[in-house]
Parts: sequence; structure tokens; C-alpha cells
Amino acid sequence: MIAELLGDAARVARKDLLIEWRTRVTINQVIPLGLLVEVVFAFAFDANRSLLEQGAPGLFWVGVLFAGTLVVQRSFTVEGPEGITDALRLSGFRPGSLFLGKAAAVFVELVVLEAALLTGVVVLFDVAVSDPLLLVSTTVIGTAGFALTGAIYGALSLGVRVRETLLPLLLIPVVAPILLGGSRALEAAFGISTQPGWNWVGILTVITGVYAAIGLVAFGPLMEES
Amino acid sequence: MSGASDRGDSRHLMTSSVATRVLGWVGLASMAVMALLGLVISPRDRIQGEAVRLLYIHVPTIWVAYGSFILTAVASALYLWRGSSREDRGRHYDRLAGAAGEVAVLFLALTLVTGMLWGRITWGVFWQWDARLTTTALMFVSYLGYLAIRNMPAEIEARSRRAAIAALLAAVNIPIVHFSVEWWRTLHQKASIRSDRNSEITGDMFATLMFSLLAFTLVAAWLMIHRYRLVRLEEIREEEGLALAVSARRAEGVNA
Amino acid sequence: MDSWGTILLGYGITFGAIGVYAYSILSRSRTIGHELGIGVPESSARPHLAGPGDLDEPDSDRSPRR
Repeated sequence: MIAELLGDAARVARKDLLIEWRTRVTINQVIPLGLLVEVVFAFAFDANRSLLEQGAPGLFWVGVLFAGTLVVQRSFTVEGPEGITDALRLSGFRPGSLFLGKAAAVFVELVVLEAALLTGVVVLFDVAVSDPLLLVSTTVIGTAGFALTGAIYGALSLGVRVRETLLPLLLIPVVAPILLGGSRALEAAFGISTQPGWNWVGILTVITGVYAAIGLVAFGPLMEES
Repeated sequence: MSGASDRGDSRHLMTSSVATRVLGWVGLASMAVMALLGLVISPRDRIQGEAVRLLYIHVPTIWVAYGSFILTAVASALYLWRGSSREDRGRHYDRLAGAAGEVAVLFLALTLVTGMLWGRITWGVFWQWDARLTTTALMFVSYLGYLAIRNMPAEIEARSRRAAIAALLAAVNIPIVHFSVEWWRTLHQKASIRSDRNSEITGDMFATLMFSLLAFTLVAAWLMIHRYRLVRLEEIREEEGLALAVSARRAEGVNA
Repeated sequence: MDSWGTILLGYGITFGAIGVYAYSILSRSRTIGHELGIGVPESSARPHLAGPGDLDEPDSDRSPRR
């Protein structure tokens, strides 16, 4: 049963990634936007090197947050206004598979985005990575948490006329702990602070687990409406 | 709010009844007494000075807000659990959740405003990145999102279900935000604010605080009852509007 | 006493906000109540159904419309 759940999820994710590969919206539009956010921060802080280096982890996650919201938005826009519910009915996929599949596709797109953003942050803000393993664990787990949460709220604001403005309002307060934990852990990974970073990875893991569980439970009721 | 008078035939629905009128006047009077107690009769605090008077609003409003959020979460859960099985009970829970949620957001806003003013006097700044403040602010924003879902134009049942899920998500999120923010602040600085916030409280002050809690609870109850009835009225209007449109179409069909 | 101004501001905002909210609920209820003829004294509700004696009701400015 679990194998089936994950298999279907993989199919959903594959479909989403195929759409992305053909349209290249994330690659051509969202990633440049993420980089632009980092550049604009440099303007805002008057290109103050020490300030930017200090703030680099937070600025990285703010970039991920903004760009990620767009990716989630996009992920549900491709389904059409009511498409996902129809797709569910026709395909016979379980809601859980749809949830995990959607989140997985968002996750993969965000990892690509983050690779670009991290390069940008290292180059533009002059930070050095002192703990690569911590860096990778933080971004992977934090991104998984963001993708799972995004999939829940993406479904929640699906088919709503005011989705463009509703989704960020709902999503950003909820992912604030991820931004917080991710930033603190990256501070340690960049050697900016001496605080232990792995504790935050632990918190991020808990958050990710909680939202995975919530999504598996909540996606059914969210999908069966209308 | 027993709801007994609100169910059944819509014609019996009233925007006021004797009980709520009495509640309204008692609430209004108790607010006046509360202002008198808080501003004039209660003594100034030895440590905080006059600023303590703001806490007679700040503390009761957050308690009322928390209580209302719990009510919203419970009613939302009941709506999801029972809503589909029994038609009218379900609507009842949904309306209750909405009314409580809106009142809670209002009271939380008041908590934040009076807290900031209190902070301006006591700390010299409006805002501290204290764990509790940060959590409360995020909570406020996430419930604004909940209200946004409630107010969006959509089919009633679909909207209610989404709103209920959003309310439960927001409730689940409170501890997550709280613990992460708490840990963030304790790692960086000592939580120095909490200790002086609960400075010694004298008998008069305690009495004022408790009376104020009573007054705000009465007002919140009154607001919730009336907000509930307004939701009911809006639903009836939607239904009647639909019925009118249908009959108008029918009439067109007959004439054609 | 600078703090008194801030304190009074806090009380003012609190009472003002609750008052405005209460007023908005009541007036919206009243408007819909009038539209539907629910929850208002029979004389002022559904003026088109009420008898002619109700025209001198203080609220009857809506009645000529229907």
C-alpha cells in the first residue's frame, strides 16, 4: 500500500516536472527573480559587505520564500481552476499520492533554484561555506518542509479567484519557523555564528514531519469538495 | 449561545432578543466600570508606574482571544467531523467558528496595540523581538488569512470546509511557531522581559484585572452572538437571492 | 506625565475599535434584516406588506421605495 502510494506520488511528480521541463517557467523566470531579490538586498543595504555577509543566510531564505511561493503558485495553476479535483476523480489516485507528488515536484524545482541562489549568495555577499554537510542537510530538510507546507496551502487556495494574494498571506506565517531555523543553521554552516547549527536541523526535521502528516490527513477533505 | 433559538425556521431569527439586549447593556456598563477602575481607582504600580493600567486591557484581551481561538478550532473540528452528517448542526459549527475567529482577531489586535504602547512606556520601544511577541504577531497574521478564506467568494459548503481546515492548520501551527521562536530567542538573549512583566500584583490590581476580564468576556460574548446572527442573515440572504433569481428566470420562461 | 497620553490612547483605541466593530455588525444586520424582513419590528420590516398606518414610523423612510 505504501509502495502504491509512493508510486502514484512519483507519477504525479513526474508529470509536474515534465510540464516544467517543457515550459521552463521556473528556470527562465523564477530563478532569475530569486537572484534579483538578492541583488536588491545589496541595494537596500547600500552594498555594505559586512552587513550582507552577516545577513546572507536570512537573505538566502527570504529569496527561497518569495521564489518558492511562486513555484507553489505555479504548481497549482497548471492544474487549471478546478482541474486537480477532476484529475483526482479520473485518475483514481489517492489524495495522499497527489499531495506527496505535488510536494516532490516543488521540492525538486526548489533545489535547483537554491543551487543557483546559493551560488549567488556566495559570490555576491562574499560568504564562505565552512560546513558543507550542515549546509546541504539544512537546505534539503528545510526545502522539504517548505514544499510540503506549500502543497497543503496551494490546495487550500486552489480555484479561488484571489489565489495570487491569498496564498502568500496563508503560507508565509506558517513557513516562518522554517525561515528562522534555516537561517540560524546556515549561519553556523557559513561560520558566521558559533551557535550549534545541527539543533536547528533537528527542529526543521520535526516541522517537516508534522506537515507531511498533516498534509496526508488534510488533503483528502480538501480534494473531495465541490 | 445555545443556538436553540437560531435553528429552525429562519423567520424566528432575530438580531436582538431580551437576553442579548441585557447582555449588551451589562457589557457596556461593565466596560465603563472597567475604564473607571483601570484609569482612576486602581493604584499605580511601584515598579511600572502608570503603565500598569494598559495591562488591564492587554492581559484580558489576550485571554479572551486565546479562548476564542480555541472555540474556533473546536467548532471547526466539529464541523469537519459532524458537518456532513447533519446538515444544520454543521452550519451551526461553521458559523460559530467564523464568529469566534473574527472576534478573536479583533481582541488579538487590541492585545498587540496595547502591548506596544505599554512597551513604549516601559522599554522605550514599541516592539521587542521577544518570543511571545513574535509568536503572537505571526498568529495574528495567520488568522487574518483564515478570515480571508472565510470572506472569499465561493460556494458556502466548499468555503466552510476550507475555512475549517485552515483554522485547524493555524491552530497546529501555534505551538510550532512558539517553540521555534522561543528557542531562537533563548539562544540569543535571555528572556528578561517575562520576569518584570509579572511584577508584584496587589489586591486592588488583581481585582481590577479580574473585573476587566469579566467585562471583556461579556463584550466578546455579545459580539460573537451578533456576529453569528449576521452570518446566518447573510446565508439567508444568499439563499433567498438565489431563490429570487430562480423564480425570476422561471417567470421569464413563462412569458417567452 | 508623558505616559498618561499613551495610556489614554490605548484605552481610546480599545473602546473605539470594539465600538466600531459592534456598530458595523449591528448596522449590517439591520440592513440585511430590512431586506429580508427579519428581526426588525413588524412595522418597519417589509414595508410593502405593512398597513398604511406605519408610514409615520421613524424608520419608514424606506417604505416609499417599494
